[in-house]
Amino acid sequence: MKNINKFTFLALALTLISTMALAQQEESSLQNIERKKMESLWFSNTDNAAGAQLDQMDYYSQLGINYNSTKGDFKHTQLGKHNTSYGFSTDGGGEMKNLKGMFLWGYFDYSHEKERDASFNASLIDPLRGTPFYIADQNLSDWINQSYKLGMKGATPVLGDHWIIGLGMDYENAQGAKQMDPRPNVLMSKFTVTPSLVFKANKHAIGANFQYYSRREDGTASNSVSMKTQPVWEVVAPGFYDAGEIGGGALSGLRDYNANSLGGGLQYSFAGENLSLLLSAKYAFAVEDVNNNYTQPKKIGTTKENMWDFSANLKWQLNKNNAMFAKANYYDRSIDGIEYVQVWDNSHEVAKWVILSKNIRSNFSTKQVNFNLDYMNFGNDNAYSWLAGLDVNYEKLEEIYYLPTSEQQVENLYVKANVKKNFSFGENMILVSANGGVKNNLGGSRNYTGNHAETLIYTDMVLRDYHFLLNNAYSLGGEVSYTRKGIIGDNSSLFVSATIDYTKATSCPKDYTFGNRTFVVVKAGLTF
Amino acid sequence: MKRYIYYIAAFTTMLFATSCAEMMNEAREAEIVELIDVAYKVNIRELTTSEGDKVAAPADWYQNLDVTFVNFAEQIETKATINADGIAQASVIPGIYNVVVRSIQPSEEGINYILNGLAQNAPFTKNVSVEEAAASTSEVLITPIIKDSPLVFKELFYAGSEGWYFRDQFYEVYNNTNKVIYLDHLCFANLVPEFPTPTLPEWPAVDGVDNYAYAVTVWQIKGDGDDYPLAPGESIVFAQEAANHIEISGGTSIVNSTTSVDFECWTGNQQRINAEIPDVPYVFWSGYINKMMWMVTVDGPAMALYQPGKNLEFGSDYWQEGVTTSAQVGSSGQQYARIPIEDILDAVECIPTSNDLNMKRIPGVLDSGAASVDGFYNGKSVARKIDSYRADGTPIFQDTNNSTADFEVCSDPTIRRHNVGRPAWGGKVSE
Repeated sequence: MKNINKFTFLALALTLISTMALAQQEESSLQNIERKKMESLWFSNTDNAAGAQLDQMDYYSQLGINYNSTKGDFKHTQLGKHNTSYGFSTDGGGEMKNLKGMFLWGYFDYSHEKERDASFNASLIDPLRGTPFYIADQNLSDWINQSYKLGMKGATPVLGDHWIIGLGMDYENAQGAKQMDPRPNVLMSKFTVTPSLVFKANKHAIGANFQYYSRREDGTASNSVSMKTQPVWEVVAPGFYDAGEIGGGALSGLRDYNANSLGGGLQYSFAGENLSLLLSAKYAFAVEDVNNNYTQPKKIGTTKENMWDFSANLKWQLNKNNAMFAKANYYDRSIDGIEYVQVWDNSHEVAKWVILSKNIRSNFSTKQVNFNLDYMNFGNDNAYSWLAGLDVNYEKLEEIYYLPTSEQQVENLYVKANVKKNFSFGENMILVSANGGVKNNLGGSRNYTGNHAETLIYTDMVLRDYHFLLNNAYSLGGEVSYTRKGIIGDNSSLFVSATIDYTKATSCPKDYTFGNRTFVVVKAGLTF
Repeated sequence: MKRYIYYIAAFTTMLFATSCAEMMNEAREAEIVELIDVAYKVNIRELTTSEGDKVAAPADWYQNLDVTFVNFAEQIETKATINADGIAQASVIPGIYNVVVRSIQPSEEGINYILNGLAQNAPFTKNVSVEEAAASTSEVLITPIIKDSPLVFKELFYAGSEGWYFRDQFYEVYNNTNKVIYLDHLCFANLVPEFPTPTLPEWPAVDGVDNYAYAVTVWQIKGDGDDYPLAPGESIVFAQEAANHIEISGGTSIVNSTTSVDFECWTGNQQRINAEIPDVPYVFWSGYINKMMWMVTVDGPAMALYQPGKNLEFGSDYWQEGVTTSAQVGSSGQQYARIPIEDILDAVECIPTSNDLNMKRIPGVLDSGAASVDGFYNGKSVARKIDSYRADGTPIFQDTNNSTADFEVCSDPTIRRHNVGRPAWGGKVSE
């Protein structure tokens, strides 16, 4: 934790210095920044940093602190029942006129979270991130997680009337400490680099970007009370595991994850007088090896991930005061779980595990189709007066364990509407918003042929999560924020905001009563 | 200098890119799993008749064998078919398997033979034909042994109690026959590896496969041949330390007292003399002798009983390399007691957890399974299940040389559970 704190304060200082250096003339507020981001199609919808130059976003800076609370049973089993966190965020940048029009933007986020009563996880900071290979235990436990994330996007001015070169870089570091035996202290770091290029010809532009990331996560589940072993499951897929004891036998509590991803994107945009269109396609291929020992590694498994993402974004300036934003998106992620047949070879000078064969044993697929429509009324200032939106999302989740064959499939439809009204009184602004949505299950099935249907991890996690996905629900939420302009400088604003969202399950089966879940966020900060 | 930095950076980048590409290519090569058809050879050795002659096993025994391919990591058991040539076949998921053979077969003499065998950690990753299996050197080798071992381990309490307390370990041996057995010369051996591990030692090639079990410590009841009779339905108990453990442990021991045992495995600790219980001497001890106490691993020992037919002495000429001892290949030459498996009356394999079957260390013919209390310092013992009762009401315990099936876990370790008898001489210091 000490290292994280050092990095946090160093990064914080650097980010503050860089964002303060961008202080500019235009009046700034949260609503103004939200509008800028919505209008900047390349910046907000692609990884292509060069394309951000085409958005002519101008520039902004914001920094703030936040407090978050999440409570309730309507959740995946592995998540905490009651989580609280606090954090600090800042981001800012834009077109640098004193750097010959270069685009520079950066961000920094810090978060400290306490998760309470999480279960079936003794390996991962984020158990839902997509790997099926982890250690699960029987104890309800708290986790204390801390993370920081920083990054930047930069782009040259238009070179030779046509070319823009860009670069994006992100770095994330996190630490998660489980508070009950078996307890790992998990460290995670991720570095992403995204070089990009755009060719611009009049109103048309095409872009391409490459993306690589390296991600490491490791931690060893071990016992503080060493005279007592802890029963665990070495999970390879939901309902499939090898049972063992931490503190007894040959089971290693270490999980060492090493991932590399290669990918890229292609983009096309048209920028008319009142109409802007952006089409983008993105692909990534990621492989993550999971080992259980640093010096004599035995491969627990490998995930092979193929991800496709297609989107079309439209910005339509209806007239001087009104605009429409539309987005259609298709997302497809397929993760193969590879398992190995290995033998211990002690015939060499250096004994090691030797891989005899490998096979894809499982697959986890996510398909999503999303339509989003927003209407914005600008009002009389550079923020907005009204913002109303509708979001429709179809999701199909499929998983299969090939032998012995077990399958699960769930289809859901989510519809959500929201409206925001921004009241402006001289130097003061009050934003009020409300939203509501429904989750409607379109179908689901589960067929399990493994040997563990009666075990706790199957009934209390696998089956419970299946029913969680099947459950219908509704959600209600709202936000109130107050902004005061000109307190520090003419163009700056102070803000405080509070957001609450409430989700309630409406079709609980007898054995799984999910109840509800409430999310509360309180923020305060400065924009300039 | 700048040039060197450039070279180092370029080399590092190249190395990193190569490693990343290799990782991705390896993942791309993986294909979706399918069942594979595999075959494995089973070979029954000659059996010894009641006259002591060696004869070939009857041909029909092969077809009556019960062969199972056990994928212990995935807890999948697949029954195999077996032909007259002893080739077992099954369709399995690629993985590491224990090929387990179990059967009880009657001979023409009317004697029942236990045909247990085990090929441990056999990898199956592709189809194996009958012809390939027949030509292979890999096989399950079975030594037929006569059923109804006269002496069996009845209860083993090795795991210790809460609070790191291990001085209450005890081991009970029972007469499972209908006749009096004399315990004189009975050896009680702690087998190697002393601590359970999936990495088994390599023994000299001259020892062959599954011909011997190897011990780190051997204790013996010395006598003239008729000093220690054990009647049917009676048991004797060896303790690490015969004492009131409630007092010593401060109340954490699950066993109140082991003062009702018959022998104490005392190694010379003057602080732990319990004069009222006879000491049984160690006659072999490999490596450093712990004069504080003798304890077996709380993770699960492997133990054997045998009777060499005479009194043995520690450090005597009886112990000779290649005759009664062996050293592991590649070791410094440390000797371990070498016990022919046909001399072993009973053996029990104990492992840390039920899923650690890849840690089995003794030949499958002696024990084709393993018992476990799933943990340590948990105050649990493994006790043999009752098979039937004699007319006098004394139990006959199950003994199929498969500890997975023969033993059950008990949360109340009990000396002479089921009210079995104690010999009249039991627990008395001989004059």
